[in-house]
Amino acid sequence: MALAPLTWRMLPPITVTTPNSIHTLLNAIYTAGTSLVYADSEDRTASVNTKWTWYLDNTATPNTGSTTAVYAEPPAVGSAMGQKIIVCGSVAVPASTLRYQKEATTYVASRPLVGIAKSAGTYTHWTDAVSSSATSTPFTSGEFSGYATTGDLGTAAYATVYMYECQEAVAVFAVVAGVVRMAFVAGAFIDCFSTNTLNVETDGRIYGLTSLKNTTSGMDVSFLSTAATVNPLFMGNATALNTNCFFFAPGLATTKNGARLTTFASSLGTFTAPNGNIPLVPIQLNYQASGNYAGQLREIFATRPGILGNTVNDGTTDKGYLAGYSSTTSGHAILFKK
Amino acid sequence: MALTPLTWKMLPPMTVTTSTVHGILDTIYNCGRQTTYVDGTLKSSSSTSWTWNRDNTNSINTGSTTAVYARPTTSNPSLLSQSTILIGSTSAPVAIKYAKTGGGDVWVTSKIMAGLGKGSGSYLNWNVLGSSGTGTPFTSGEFTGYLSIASTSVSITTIMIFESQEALAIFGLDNSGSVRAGLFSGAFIDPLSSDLANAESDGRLYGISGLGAYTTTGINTGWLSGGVGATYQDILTYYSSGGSPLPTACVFNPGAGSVRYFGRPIAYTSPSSSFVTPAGDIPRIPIQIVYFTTVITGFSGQLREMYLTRSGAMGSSLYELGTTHGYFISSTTSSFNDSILLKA
Repeated sequence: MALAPLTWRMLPPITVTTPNSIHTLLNAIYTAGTSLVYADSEDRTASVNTKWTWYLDNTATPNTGSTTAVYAEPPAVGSAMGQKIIVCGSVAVPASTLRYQKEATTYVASRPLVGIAKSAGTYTHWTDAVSSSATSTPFTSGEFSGYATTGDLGTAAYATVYMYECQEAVAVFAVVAGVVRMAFVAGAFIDCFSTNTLNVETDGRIYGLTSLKNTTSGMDVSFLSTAATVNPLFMGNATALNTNCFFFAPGLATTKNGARLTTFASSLGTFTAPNGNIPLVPIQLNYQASGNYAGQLREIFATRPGILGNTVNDGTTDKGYLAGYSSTTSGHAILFKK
Repeated sequence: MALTPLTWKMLPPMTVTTSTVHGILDTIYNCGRQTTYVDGTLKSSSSTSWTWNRDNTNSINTGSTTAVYARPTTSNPSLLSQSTILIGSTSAPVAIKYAKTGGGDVWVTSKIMAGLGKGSGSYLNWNVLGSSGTGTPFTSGEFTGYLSIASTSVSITTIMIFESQEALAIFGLDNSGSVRAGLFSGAFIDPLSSDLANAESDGRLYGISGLGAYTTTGINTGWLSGGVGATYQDILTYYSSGGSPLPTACVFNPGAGSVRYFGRPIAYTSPSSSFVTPAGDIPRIPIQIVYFTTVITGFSGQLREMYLTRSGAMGSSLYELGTTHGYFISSTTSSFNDSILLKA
């Protein structure tokens, strides 16, 4: 049986302030996540079922005094497994090698890191998840995925952060020169349509994360059709240089890589019905190594080509929010359904 | 809103005694007229039952079966009087109507072709000019024109037919079990809309899809990895280029007699027998359809109770604890390959 449908909301985009650094980017993510209203001006404080709570850490070394980590927890409705999301990084290299999702990852200051935890305790410091301990976590307890790459912002001026949230998952995109250079979706965004604990956690969910790889070329324009080597979302494998898509194995602290089963045509042309209706096509995920079926993305649909940040409105009602490779040019798009 | 779900049923496979166009058409006719389904249910008491007829008196090859035609039972909601027809002859017909314009898929002696009528009257004659009037083999209504579903240059030894309330599927297999003939016909695409720009007045889209007339290969084992713009021997996707003869797939434009080609916009990475959940559940993934010529020109809809699933063997039943859940459509009976499941 399908899980309860999620309701995605868009937060007001936030311009990253100067000077250009990982710290100002993290500040922008925090500012987006603590907005009092949604992009449609609705009061966010009253939206208790979709509102995530964001925190920041500017006390950790290195770069004490600057924001080096922001982390978030879902509203009560999405917190059955105690999930938390953390985004972090610093201009200075951390003293100890971090615990990465893929061990071969190298630390670079322009490459924000992201991780997901379940049954997470209180935040300690982002640098507490170190490679020397396979169970280490930035929280006092629980399981942690290790840090994954989210892209490479390069040296050009950072522009804008886009954030979307729903009851059980969150998505963040950061744009440089019109192109998405950083992106991730994290949380319980996969529905396996099952309550069997071989397939899902005890709460019926699968907790995971997908993010971009380390390249300044940005997210791929045809990200619903390309392989993990190119720079799509929802495609992952074990190679450090490729994009990430992974989720916790149900009941365990280990993660499994996921891969999109569905490869959309690279050119979707006129992807609307003759009367103009916009299709919402479910996206399926497999276990990347075994080929087992993992599930379907929750209220994240492939749709007509579009532009990051646009809203789909039927004339009276917002239906959802488009996310693609660019905030200025149309390409493959997913719709976060409102 | 989605249409009423279809129930697919499989008829017992039937052996072809003479692998000629006439012999194959006779076998399709006899297979369709069986009285029970493979699950033991009586066809006469099933809403899925189609009525099958043949033409063996046509002057083009008098005494031989040159056409088989079928329509769904009148008690089901096929409101637009659809009729499916399969034809073949050893003598050349007049300039009949073809589904693929501009040539590339026309009659030859070794082909079995098929077409779909909507608003169809009684059967009249399949050998009628397509260049004047509607080219329909029926007394009235619109007709898609003919497209290839098989070449008899290869020996087809077994016929499999699947029926549902509003659509049917026919396959021909060679003696190794490889699928060499393929057809889907009827209201098998759900436009998920009742807008008359998207759907007929009964909410359906009526279409037909043929495998083509390959002489050396049948459906590709990895056919679901294809889709629009690919070069696989596919079914359910129109091919705009490549060698001849190729698969053709089209639907009637809603409210019109003209047709529009279609295909699958999504390629699936050859789901194997491991394409089950960790607990062993078998997924059923809806398959979307788009209008397509050389580029995607619009969204058509979703296949009706025809799902991507784990790899399987052609014609196998998905059976669990006394219940048949559906039937696998794949490239061969002899191994597990890319499959769709016709849900029972």
